Amino acid sequence: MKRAIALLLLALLGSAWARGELRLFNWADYIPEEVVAEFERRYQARVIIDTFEAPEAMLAKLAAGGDAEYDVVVPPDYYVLEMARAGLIRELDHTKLKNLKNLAPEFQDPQYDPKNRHSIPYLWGTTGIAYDSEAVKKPVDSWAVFFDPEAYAGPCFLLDEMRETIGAALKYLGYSLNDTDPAHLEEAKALLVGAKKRCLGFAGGIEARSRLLAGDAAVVHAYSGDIVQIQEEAPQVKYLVPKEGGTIWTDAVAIPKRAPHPELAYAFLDFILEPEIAAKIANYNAYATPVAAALPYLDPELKANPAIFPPEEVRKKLEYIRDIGDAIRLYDRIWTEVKAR
Amino acid sequence: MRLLLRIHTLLVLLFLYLPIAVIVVLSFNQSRFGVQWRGFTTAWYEKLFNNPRIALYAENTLVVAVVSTLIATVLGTLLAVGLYRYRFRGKGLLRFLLYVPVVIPDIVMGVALLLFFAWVREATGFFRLSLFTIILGHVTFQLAYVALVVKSRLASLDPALEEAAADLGAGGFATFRYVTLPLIWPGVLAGALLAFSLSLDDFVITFFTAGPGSTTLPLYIFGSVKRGVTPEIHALSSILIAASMAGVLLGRALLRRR
Repeated sequence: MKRAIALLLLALLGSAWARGELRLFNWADYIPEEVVAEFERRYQARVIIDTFEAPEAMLAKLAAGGDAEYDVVVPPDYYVLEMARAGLIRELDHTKLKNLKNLAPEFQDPQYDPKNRHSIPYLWGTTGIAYDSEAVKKPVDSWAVFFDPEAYAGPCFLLDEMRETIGAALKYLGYSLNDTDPAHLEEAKALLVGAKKRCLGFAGGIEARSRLLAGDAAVVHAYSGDIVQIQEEAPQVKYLVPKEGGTIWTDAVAIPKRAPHPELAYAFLDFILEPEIAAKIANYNAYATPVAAALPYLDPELKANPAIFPPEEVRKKLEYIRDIGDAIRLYDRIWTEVKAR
Repeated sequence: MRLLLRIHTLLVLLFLYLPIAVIVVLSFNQSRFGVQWRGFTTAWYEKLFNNPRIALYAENTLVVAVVSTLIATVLGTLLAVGLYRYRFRGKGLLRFLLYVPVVIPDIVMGVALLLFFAWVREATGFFRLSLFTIILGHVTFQLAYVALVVKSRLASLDPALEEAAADLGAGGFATFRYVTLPLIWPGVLAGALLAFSLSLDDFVITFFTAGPGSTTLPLYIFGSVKRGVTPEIHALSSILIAASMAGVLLGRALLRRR
């Protein structure tokens, strides 16, 4: 018994004393084990991964002192500037990131973080429409499947995400999804109230996907990555960005302000910008990589899938969700009213 | 009437165990994403056992469960024996306080611990969130459960036995060591097993007291919900269910023994 206790205490102390440690705060199951092992081998370091289930939880942990505990965090695009303003993440020293040049030009100066001052992009995707091609009653190519009773193609779900869903209505109306004009938002609200009546309701991305797979829904508002993952098992499920345009999103990688091992953190950022490593990450998740130099190493099916790498004319119609300042209150109010109906 | 009763029992059991059965069944499903059955496989269990990341989370979970159970069992048993053997001022209050951690909502306890640790950390520089703080958090609720289980065992003890030991010249410690402890041993073990299974699958308190590098299995399972729960997670949940059930069953068997 005594020996067991002593061993346990040693194990506890040992984990605290381990050197060459990189602490990564990431979504669950978002980085292949193979890539982590390669980094550990090359830098003689141990990688500790903690996971979050929502960006809000990640932000809360960092704000509660986690910015001194983690070396690398993976926030969504729309949090990068907010976190930088709050002093939670540091300005990147580009001289330590020689692989930045591997990024595609549009990711060298992304809207959500100009000139990659505070973050590098990890993976990206779009928000659009997923549908069961055997179950829909009408062709699907527009947000109208949700917002126009004439175009109703079957049981549907909207995303339970305020900015995405109000954004979809704004896009259908031909406005920007960052529009803050109260009159435009009222129009969007009217559309959403109608859509809510016709559809089965609001759901998270994964729940909507499950309902689509189970046959309960025929059309769902969805994230590209979630849908591409299941296409191998369910080839009848298709994904597209509506002709009016949709959202583009990027998960970014940043270094907290008081990261305990910043040198290793820089090494990690540079590491995931390497072409072959970036390709492994993209292949594993079935998401698009911002690392242009990684394209030759991607799975051919992945590269050829327009749901992952949309053609140029579709990409022009994609917009990032931007920080809209105080106008967010207007969104909050409309969202509450829609959901309360 | 009897038939109705049987149907009622069956429905209650279904209500309680069907969701658990679904998880176990899905852990053997070939389909990675859907809920439709696509054939039997044990591949997810193989994948699970070959995943070093999950092995680390399992190690964290076990370290927390074993250490916190040891601490809570020793302290809880002593608390119960003290309450049983001695009369002192405030005993009624102490007995009442013992129930508080059992009935207080976990979330309140979790937030309270988080704030407390932050406050102590400001003052002393210690209590960085880690496995250590999780262990402390678990002990706070385990302690009460152990004390309650041991207390019920003590209640069925014949006071004449301790008196006889004292008559024969045994001091307070000797009486405890050679008479009381062997008699309540099954209760102590049962309390420990209960505490162990509570720690093993605790989510809420762990969530608030966990720091970097101290992800446990329940935290990992929760984290994977938004990214899509894979059958690998179902397999993991099934193993956790089996482990906590084994703990509870063993505890009950020990309690029954005289």
